[in-house]
Amino acid sequence: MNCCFRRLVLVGCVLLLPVSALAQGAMLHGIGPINSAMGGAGVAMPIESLGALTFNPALIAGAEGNQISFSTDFFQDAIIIDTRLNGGLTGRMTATSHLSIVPAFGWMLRDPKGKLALGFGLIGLAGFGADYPTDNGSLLFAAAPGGFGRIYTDYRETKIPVALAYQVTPKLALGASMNIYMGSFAVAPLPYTFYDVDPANNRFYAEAGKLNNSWAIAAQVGFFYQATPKMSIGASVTTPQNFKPYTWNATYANPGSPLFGQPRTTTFDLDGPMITSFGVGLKPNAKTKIAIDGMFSKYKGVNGFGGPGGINNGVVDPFGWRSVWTVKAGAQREMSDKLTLRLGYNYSQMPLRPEVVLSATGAPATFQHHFCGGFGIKMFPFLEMVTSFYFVPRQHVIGPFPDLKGKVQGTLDESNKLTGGLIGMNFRF
Amino acid sequence: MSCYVKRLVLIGCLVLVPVAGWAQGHMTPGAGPINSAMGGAGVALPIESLGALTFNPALLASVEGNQLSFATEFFKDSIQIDTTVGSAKGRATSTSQVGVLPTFGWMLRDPRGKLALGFGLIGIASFSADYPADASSILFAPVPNGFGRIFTDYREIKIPVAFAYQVTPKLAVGASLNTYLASFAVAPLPASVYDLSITGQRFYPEAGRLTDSFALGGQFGFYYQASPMMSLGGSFTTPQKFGRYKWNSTNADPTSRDFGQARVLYFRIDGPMILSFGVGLKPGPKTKIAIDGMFTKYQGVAGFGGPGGIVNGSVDPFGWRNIWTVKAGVEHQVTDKMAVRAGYNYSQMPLRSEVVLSATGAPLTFQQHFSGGFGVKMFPFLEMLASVVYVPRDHVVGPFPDLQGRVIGTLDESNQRTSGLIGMSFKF
Repeated sequence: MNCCFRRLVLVGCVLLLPVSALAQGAMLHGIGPINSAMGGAGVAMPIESLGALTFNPALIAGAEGNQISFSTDFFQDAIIIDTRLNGGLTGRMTATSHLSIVPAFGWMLRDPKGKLALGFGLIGLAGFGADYPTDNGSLLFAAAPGGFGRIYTDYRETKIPVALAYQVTPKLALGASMNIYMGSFAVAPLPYTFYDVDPANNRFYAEAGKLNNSWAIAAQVGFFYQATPKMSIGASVTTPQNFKPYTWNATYANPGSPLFGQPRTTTFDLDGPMITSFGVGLKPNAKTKIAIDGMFSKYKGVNGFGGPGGINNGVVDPFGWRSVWTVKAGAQREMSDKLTLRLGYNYSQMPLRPEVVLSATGAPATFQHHFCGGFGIKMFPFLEMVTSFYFVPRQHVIGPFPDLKGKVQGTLDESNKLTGGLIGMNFRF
Repeated sequence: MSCYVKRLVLIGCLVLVPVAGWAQGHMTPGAGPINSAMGGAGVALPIESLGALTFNPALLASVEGNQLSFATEFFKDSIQIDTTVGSAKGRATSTSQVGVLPTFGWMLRDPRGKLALGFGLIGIASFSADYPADASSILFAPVPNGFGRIFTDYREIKIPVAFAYQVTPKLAVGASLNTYLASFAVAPLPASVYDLSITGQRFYPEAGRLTDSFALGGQFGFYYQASPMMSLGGSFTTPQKFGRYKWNSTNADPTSRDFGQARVLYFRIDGPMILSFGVGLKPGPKTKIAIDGMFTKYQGVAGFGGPGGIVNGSVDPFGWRNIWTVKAGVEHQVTDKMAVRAGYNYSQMPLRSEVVLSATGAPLTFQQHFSGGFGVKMFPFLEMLASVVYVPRDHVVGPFPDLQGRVIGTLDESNQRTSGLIGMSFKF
């Protein structure tokens, strides 16, 4: 009972520890404390269900019996927008920051006597948010019509994969999953094509402020090949996610118009990118595992994220993201029978383009360098308590600050940093 | 392999089947497909972790080994607001979306020991409304004639860390420390902060971004196995005191020079004290029956338990009363692999007809909850679960006052809910 109490106290401490995780583009860089601590790497390294269901369904063939993961990612960013006008006038806006909480659940099963494996999950996959108060000292956030006024955005995406894998040969496994995606999105005002014009030609943008849902279905296919006992390779492709356009009840926004407050509907289409991942897994010795991955996220051309960005026909086109490459590396070392340490690094190109930096204001995902680490403690033979943390230092995207005619008025510097932590439980039985 | 494939196909079907669960007051009446199918009853009937972690931590002591539950509830409301002013009648229908509440629970007891442990992340409450502006409606006409477009969004998660101890072979006691995370948005916020035009018209600012707040609370319970066929249980959940929600907002008076200027809004919504008690019956080896009572003390709770109605010329939100809930559920093991469940839950309505206007943001009229479900044992360690809940339309009807409190007509707010839950229960 004494030992049991010590374990319970430890479980409690681990559950309550303030720890961390991170994000790239709109997506979290890794899912669950194990994958996240290893920089999101592991497309060729089967360890647990959350990493497998997120990056390569073929990895679920590596399960022996049941493996269940449950985790929560807590992260907080720190957005700063600096403006400098051609005349030398400067301004700074600091967004109100909120703690984001993203849970994830994953299960994978393979009967050791069989060749077929099954997986299921509910995975918080992506998100962004910004919350700027009105500031008359700012050109960007001055009350309308001088600026956009108060702006907030909120985006959350959950992936629900149902996955199958088959051990084709002792060395080769193939996997596929059908993924249901649920996205939730709010933006107020929606600085896009829905605006009202007053007689002085000032624009007032309608809001899309209620967090509304949209759904998409996409597939993911992958392979895992154990080339030698010390080396494996793996890869996967995730098809683009075609979400139904978000629709909001809204109102006419020009306060000087007799139509002010009258109903209108705003819509916006925000889809998800095709993703290709590939990697190598190394086991230099019995206690050490190393994963090195590459990933390509094709944001260009994706509705919403991959639009042209910048000023088009006098309208701010949101996002304007480019496609990005990501390089990930992670290592896991078993320090004792009960303790495992993990470290990782993840470098992602920034999807934001300096030439259309204004379009990044609602989601300044400047994150590039992700420094990660974590550990797991085996509390019982069937349970590992896991925790990880990550830090993404402040990075900037700097570009021209145009007016709605496209004339450059100065410089816009949007920067952000991210601190996150994850806690979770990893069951095997 | 053929059997294996059949099981996989069945699992796939179960996971994708659109099925159902439900809500009373602002809280879901049950947690997970098993507890929901049984009408939320089970404070004296240990079956699985989600019900135990939600209603009575002492039930953890009954687990043998590990029990893990994972479930998701999908629900959809159908809100209607009918107004009658003189001979004029109007109807507003809220735009409805599917709500999604995921839930996870784990409980563990070493069969050789007396101590049990539990942990969960449980979606326990939510409400939402989304009314477009409607010039023909008195309530939703654009400001200043009405409130204009209104939306609300509230979500609450309970994160319990629970312990239970088997004091005697018949008696177990339990306690949990619960962290609550709630998110709330309302636009406009029709409370005490408003802007007044020079003609005396009121404009309420928005609090539209979904913003989080945390609370801590405790829960204590007991479970007593009076005889092999009968058990008793009870639990007490302390009130939950959340931090104030805080939003960046703006001045809302379009006729003012300050229109759009920055302001900060605050609002407080706490959680109620809850008292649950019940009896569990096992009339046969294959049948279990649960009958519960529950008291939820909304009165006096910041936010929910305010006076409601028109207070000093402002609409006081919610204005809820305390409620009693009666729950009953039955589980029957039809075969070794299949269990069916049915339940009924009657909850008093927290909304008060005399302050029906205050219910507009959360017209939770739900009273009668009809539920059912089943579980199929796919493997010795895994039961796939599904349940449905249907709450027929119910109404709260009362006076429609203007901001001076003068009755100008009648307001009829009604709602119905259909929900489904799917989940997995692991035992090992």
